[in-house]
Amino acid sequence: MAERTGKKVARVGLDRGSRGGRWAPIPASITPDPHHRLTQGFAPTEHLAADAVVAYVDGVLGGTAAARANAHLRDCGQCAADVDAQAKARRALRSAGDRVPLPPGLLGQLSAIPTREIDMRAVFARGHADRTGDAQRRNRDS
Amino acid sequence: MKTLHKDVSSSFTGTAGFDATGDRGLMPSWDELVAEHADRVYRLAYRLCGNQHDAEDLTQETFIRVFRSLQNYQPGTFEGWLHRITTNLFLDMVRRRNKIRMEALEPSYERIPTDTPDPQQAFADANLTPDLQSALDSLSPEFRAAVVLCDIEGLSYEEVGTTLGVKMGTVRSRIHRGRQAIREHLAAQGYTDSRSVAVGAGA
Repeated sequence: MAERTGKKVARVGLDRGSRGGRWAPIPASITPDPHHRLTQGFAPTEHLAADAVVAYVDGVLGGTAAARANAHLRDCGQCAADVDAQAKARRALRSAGDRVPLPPGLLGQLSAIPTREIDMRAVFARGHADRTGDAQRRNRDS
Repeated sequence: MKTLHKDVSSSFTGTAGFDATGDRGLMPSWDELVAEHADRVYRLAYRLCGNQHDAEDLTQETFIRVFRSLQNYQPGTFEGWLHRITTNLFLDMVRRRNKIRMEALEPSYERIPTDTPDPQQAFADANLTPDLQSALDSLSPEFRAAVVLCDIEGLSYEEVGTTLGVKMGTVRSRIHRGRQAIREHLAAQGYTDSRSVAVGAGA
């Protein structure tokens, strides 16, 4: 990391050593290190996104993301409660059973759809012809 | 999808035969098609509508749409096609009713009166606790559809997204909010952490 950020950082190290204090002010030589935060834990204001919680509960979060989520969940009661609530709702729904028997008679009505559709087309065609006839007659009469 | 590939011979019966080969000669007769898919469509319709009367109507509308569009159906996943039709007709139905309700200025209107008024019987038939079904019913239709497709029908996020015509992020956030609301609804009904809300717990 020191090599990447160049000489200034190296000088910081030297200055730090010579002064003996960790946070001795060295103006203009201290720049934000974008990699620095990654080595720390989650800040308390950070939480798992809703879609990450869903994916975690459904077990489809990728390996690295799942590991990060696990690490966060160990420390964050709020997200742990979210995961818990999601898991409970999911379990309730999935274990509820899916036997929904067809009401009697429905199968027969569904089977009859082709006949009804053909009848309706005939009725529609006839109705259309009637309406056209009516309009023509009205036009003639007026 | 999952049930149709138990063995080689069964994977080529019914609509799966057409899906696999694209051969219209393998498309089953209308009666066979209805017999193969009616249970699945009705179950989804029932979970979405929450009552038998609307679920029957929705099932009929779905199969009418299937009959009219069957000639244009391209080989794919027949079940997925049915899910899409059923869900979209359901959402159309809800939007239509909301419009009617707003126009009629009738806020107390709940749903079309049903000729099967016995909720106990409906519960016994449907095997989903009344509290859980009422929790589902309390969700807005879009969230209910996402939760039902994911947790009752067991569809993947991708399949739910295709069915509802929404992106993956939307699917996940709808499932999240849907499940959250269900959990809150059940908690308000007095379900505690130790007490299972499920009839068939452990499945």
